Amino acid sequence: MLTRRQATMVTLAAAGTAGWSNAFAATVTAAEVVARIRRNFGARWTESQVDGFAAGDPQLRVTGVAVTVMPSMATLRAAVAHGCNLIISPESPLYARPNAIGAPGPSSAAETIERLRADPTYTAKQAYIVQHKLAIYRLDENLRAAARRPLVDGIATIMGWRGRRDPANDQIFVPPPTTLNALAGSVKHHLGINGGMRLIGHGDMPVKRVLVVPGRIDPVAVVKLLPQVDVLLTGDLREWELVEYFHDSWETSAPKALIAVGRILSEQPGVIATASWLRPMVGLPVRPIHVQDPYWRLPA
Amino acid sequence: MTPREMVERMIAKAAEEGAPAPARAGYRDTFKIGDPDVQITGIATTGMSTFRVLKRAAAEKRNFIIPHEGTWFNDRDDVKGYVDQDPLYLAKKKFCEDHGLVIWRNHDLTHRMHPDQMFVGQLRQLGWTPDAMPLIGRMPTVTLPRPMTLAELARHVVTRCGAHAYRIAGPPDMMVRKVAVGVGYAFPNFQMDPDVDVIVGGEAQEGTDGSLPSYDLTEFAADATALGRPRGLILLGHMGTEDIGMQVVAEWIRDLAPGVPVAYLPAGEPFARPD
Repeated sequence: MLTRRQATMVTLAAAGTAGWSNAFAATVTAAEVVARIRRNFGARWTESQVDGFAAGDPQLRVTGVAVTVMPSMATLRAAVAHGCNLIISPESPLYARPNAIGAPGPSSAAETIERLRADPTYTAKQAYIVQHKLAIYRLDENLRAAARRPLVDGIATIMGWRGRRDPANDQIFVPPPTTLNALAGSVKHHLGINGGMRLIGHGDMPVKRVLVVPGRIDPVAVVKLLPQVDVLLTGDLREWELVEYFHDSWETSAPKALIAVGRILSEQPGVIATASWLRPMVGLPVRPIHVQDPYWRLPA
Repeated sequence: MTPREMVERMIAKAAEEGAPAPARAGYRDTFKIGDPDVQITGIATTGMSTFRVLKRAAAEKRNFIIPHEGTWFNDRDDVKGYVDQDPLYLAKKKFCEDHGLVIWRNHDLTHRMHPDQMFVGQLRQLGWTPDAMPLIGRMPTVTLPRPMTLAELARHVVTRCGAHAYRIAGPPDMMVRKVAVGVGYAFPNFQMDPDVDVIVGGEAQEGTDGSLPSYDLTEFAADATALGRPRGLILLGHMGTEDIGMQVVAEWIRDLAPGVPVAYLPAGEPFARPD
């Protein structure tokens, strides 16, 4: 039962036909695929402590490329099922930044790291990667810095707001006038949110202008844009930072609404959309693999 | 009595009860606004000094507010280059000045107490007895009196803490025997005890940007489940886990201020009721 449920955690994009990867002789290495992406980024590519191979052998012969917002077990299994052995994702398969170790706290950082690396889940996932000869390339900082703002574009496209950008700011959109409730319902539908959405504001609040910040927000930059908008649509933000700000704003004459859908779901449309522009760069088919909202809520 | 004297008494009482002194002065437990040397008319403790809490405190003639979290929308309460020109910040600040409010943040001290006052509040709220007393570190575990499914457990905790904007990850029908309890953002993890089935906490790292030991617990739980070891997570929100600890603080400071009215004013969850 669990297995069946987990199997439904991943939905595969309908594009393409099964077995297409077999048509390609696996002669291109994972390192060469990345080199092609770097060449296409040109001067916009920067050396990053984050971007790089997070798992697997860069000399792997690539049978197919998969793009996903999260290289979870479910995603890796879906990639394998489609003959893809190079997975490109902004996230790490091993839950945190590799080699980044924070300040030792009450939880004893060193002990946690040691135990995590020995954990059956961690070792089984690594074994799966080895067994299926997968490579995982983390494309994060360079993706975010790309001039075309792929993550914002992803939400704009899926929400039908492509022609509705504020000419003065490419993260602000002017959808047809609506209410907070109607907007939240539309976001929920288009981004595939199950239980991960949180809102601040009154449902009948009129909405004209929306600031879109996928992923995790920078409060210092975002707070300065809030006077220009009614709503912030974002992924992940801390409750002692701008969540408090939004909550407080309802005690003033200039209330602001918040729609937070979680970091992963907010980045998924943009990451999935990269498949189409990575394809000509790498010269191989690139298959998008969706993840579902991990969060759910109790029946009322 | 003045806010400054009150804070001195709290620190002295904590020391008497065995809370270790901090290695160096921190930036969190400081006065955020107001004159620490005025006479206290009344005290309000709260999880967060939201504008709504400040208005209620002023209406009740409580001029000394003791929140657990920050007032100015960041951990350091540093407004420079952030909100120092912002109309909401200016309005909240002016409200404090107009009503003579004094705010002292009580964060690190609550967590240094033995036991940590935030965990005392949350365990009491959830109606659970931790497996070990005194609490070791900041990660109490609770072996449930009877195993239950994740859905049953979630029903219990959201009912007890009254959270509406909660989030649950993991298979609803997985059996839960042992739970780790987190408060605020300070999370336990699945490595502290391999028998922990579910973590019940406030808010968590999202994505894999974290520096270990902080990591993406939701992803880990999903992968563990996919690999045959079901794990779950119940996120109750920051105030769903730490507001209540400031009720513990209100009780703890009451005898330090004879004749001064002390009340716990819950900040409540900031999010709207879903649906």
